[in-house]
Amino acid sequence: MVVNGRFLRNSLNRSWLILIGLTLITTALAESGTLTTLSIAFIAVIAMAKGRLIIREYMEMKTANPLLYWGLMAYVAVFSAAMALLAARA
Amino acid sequence: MNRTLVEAPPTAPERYTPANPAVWVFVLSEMSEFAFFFIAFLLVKFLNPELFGHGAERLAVWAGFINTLILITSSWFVARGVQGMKRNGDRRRTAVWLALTLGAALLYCLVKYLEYRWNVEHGVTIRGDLFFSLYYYLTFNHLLHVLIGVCVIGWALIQTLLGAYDRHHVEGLEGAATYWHMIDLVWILLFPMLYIVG
Repeated sequence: MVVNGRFLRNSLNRSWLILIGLTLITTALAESGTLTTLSIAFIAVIAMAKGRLIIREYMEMKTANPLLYWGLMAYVAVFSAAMALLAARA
Repeated sequence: MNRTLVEAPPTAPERYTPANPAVWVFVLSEMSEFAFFFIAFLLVKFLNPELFGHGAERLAVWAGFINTLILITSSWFVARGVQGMKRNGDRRRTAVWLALTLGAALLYCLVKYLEYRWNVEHGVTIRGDLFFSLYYYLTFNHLLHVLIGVCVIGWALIQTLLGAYDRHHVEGLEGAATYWHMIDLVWILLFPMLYIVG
């Protein structure tokens, strides 16, 4: 598959590439050795960013009921933050 | 007399929520189930930090990584299928995207099988300790949801081939896609929680 201008004009394709990139960053951080508080916070932020892309682009929630949209965003944000806070505490 | 042209005020973007309310009740109840699992995992971790310190290091990160790529890609396949149907009612192309999703789902199951086999070979069993018990509980539960998703996407594929959807009738297809994206969304949290941070 050739990643050309036409391919990138579609927001779903762009989101897919970004999601793949963010997954590579998360795994590279995990494989780089001991995780610091900063890297754990970064991993949590990446999880939130990935969740946001899936909710907005894949699930097409950009124009959906705000309660549903923000509920889904809060779900991802709360558990990502809780994961980071507990890891930093340990 | 000059007439002042009064422009109509800009209208707010039209609200549109994909899929029907019944699907959302189902999806939200599934997400609530996973929320309880996450809370249980985090609570046990809070109470037993020493057990969770090195749990992730013993897991097959490669398997979690590959399955993350597979799920992200499968979600993209579904989204492209829905987009194709909405834009030009292309049933054939939508069917291809849905078939690719099913292929990705089966690949996910294969990687999960290889991961569990690798675990057994490396002494990572369900009776290892609390971390590994929760890891198996969460990942196996997610696998079950993937299998339900396979049935849902399979049904949407059959409906697509039978001509049940067109540009203006995509609610069923959107419902199947929403369920699949929910599976992806949950995995986005499970992957760092279990395999990376531990």
